[in-house]
Amino acid sequence: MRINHDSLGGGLLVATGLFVAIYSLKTYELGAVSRMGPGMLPAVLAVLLVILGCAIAFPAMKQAGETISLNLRPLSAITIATILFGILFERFGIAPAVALMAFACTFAERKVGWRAKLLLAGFLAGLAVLIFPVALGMPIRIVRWPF
Amino acid sequence: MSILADLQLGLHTAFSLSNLLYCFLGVLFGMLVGVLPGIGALSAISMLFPITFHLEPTASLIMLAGIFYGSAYGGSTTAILLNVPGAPSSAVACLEGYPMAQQGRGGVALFMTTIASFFAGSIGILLMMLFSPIVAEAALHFNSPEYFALMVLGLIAASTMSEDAPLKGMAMVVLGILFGIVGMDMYTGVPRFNFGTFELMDGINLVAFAMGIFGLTEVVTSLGVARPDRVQRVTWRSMIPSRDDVRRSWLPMLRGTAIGSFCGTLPGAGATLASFMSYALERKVSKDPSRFGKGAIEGIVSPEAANNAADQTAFIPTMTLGIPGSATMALMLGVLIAHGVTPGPLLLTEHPDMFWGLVMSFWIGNVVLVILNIPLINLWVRLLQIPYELLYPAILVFIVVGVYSVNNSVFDVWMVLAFGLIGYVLRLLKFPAAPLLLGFVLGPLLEEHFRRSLLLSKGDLLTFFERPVSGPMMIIAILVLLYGIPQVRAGIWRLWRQRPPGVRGAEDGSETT
Repeated sequence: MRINHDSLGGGLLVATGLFVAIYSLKTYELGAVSRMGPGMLPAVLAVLLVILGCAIAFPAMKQAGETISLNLRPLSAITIATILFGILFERFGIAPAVALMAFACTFAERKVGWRAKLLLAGFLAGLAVLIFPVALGMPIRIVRWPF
Repeated sequence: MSILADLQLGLHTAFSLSNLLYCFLGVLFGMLVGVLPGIGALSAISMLFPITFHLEPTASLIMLAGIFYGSAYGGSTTAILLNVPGAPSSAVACLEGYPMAQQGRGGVALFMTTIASFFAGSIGILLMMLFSPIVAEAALHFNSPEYFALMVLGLIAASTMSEDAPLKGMAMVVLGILFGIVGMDMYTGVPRFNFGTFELMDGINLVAFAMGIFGLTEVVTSLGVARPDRVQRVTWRSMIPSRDDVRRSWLPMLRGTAIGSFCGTLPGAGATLASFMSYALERKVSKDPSRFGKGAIEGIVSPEAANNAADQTAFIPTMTLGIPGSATMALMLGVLIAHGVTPGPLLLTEHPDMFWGLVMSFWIGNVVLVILNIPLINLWVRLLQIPYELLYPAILVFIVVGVYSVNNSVFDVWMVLAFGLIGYVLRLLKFPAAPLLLGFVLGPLLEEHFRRSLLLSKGDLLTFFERPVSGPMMIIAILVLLYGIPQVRAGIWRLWRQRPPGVRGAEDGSETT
């Protein structure tokens, strides 16, 4: 067996399909075709997903392996930035959360210097405050000090 | 019966001050995201989706539609000047547009594509005005089996026709439907796949889903990609086409419009396929095919006409049947549903101001786009020089704050991150994401009509094949499905021997000849 885009992707689909099928069979009522229960359609679709996953993965296993390269730096920078926002937003308000998120996500590219990072973070925090709570009137705290 | 009254109502709606403003904002934003590579109409629409909750439904539709067709205009600008498609449907414009720009004829290319886009867009709007009421009238007699058959046809067509790997497209549709199933079952009231969370009882938030799969994923994948940074300025004088250019262009423009108008209404075909098809056709009918690839104006006018016509006619099935042909149209449908408007044949009679206002706003939007594209072209040329590293943090802020604002819930921020990661894995493994969104939006409708049909037929699955409208549709769906199987498709291609070599090469990035 070789690892390439399709064998890996097909395998993931099979795994997802198996999980959904087993979960819906165990948790929800199947019902009859004329009066379906909540579990019927998910179970049928999950089986279909397993079949499609196999049809994608099996032919691909015979083909040459490929290297799959993660774009790790942008991926982790964006993920961390979003998590920071999620943690900070309700505790500290929109301005600090956006500033930190913008600051963190600039690490996705190497080109940006420290001054540009700080400027960008400040600018975007101001812009977000102007657009969301001020212009659109969303009920969002701008700055909050929880302690 | 009273088409004039409808038109008047439409004009009245479209020309109201706020709708004019949103139309203008929409096309401006659409042009912007079209010009900038690394952000497409789909992610732009999902980014602005949360804002539309604060607007009237008509204004939201007008604005989001403006982004949609505006990005087609903008996409060709980048394709011509930078050889980078700003939008997927502009990929073909690179083939002839960039060589023209290198020969110093970039101005002519920009001018002619704008004219072709405007012409084709206008025809598309006219067709929409003519055919929507007819389709809606016919659809009034549709019941659940018909809707189910239509959706199956749409989903199968969308997953098999336009993608290189139909099996992957189908798998994505199925996965999308499964994501759509999350939430309360409307027949039994049982919450499904919410894993004990309160937030998932209402289902997965469409905005978080779309923004994660498209917006966030696009940000991550566009980073670290080298892009050209030198752009030539376009002078007024360089835009004037020669008599020869005009003579060569008008027939291709008509052909492109015809192909585009047709493809737009088909589920799953859409603008990208239309542009590739019309390019292939121009090559085939040309007396001197060797000119292609070296800046033949026919090869850019026709695809650009096609994709703009398709963008307009794509609204016909979405608005009259409630069945979107593409992921972007699925988002439009989502806007309507979020505002409590049921898309379908009754839309025209129940909300005529919305429908005709939208149609009339298309005219306004297209005129604005011509102004944005011809006199103001250098503004966009300058915009192309904004480095992406300054742009993506702003995009990220819009995505994350926008998704939060829909339900004022941080849970949705975690969802957008989760779907961003899923979208990234899919992109990494070369699985198409558009059918996933289509399946997600259509999933609940599909389930509802499927179960209702079987309830009515007492569990007889043949009901879908026995009815006069749904029967043929199911058969067409099966034929399309067969065509989607690689071996069958290869056989058909073998019959179609004289395949133009450059076209497929552009589609998958490698020369096949």
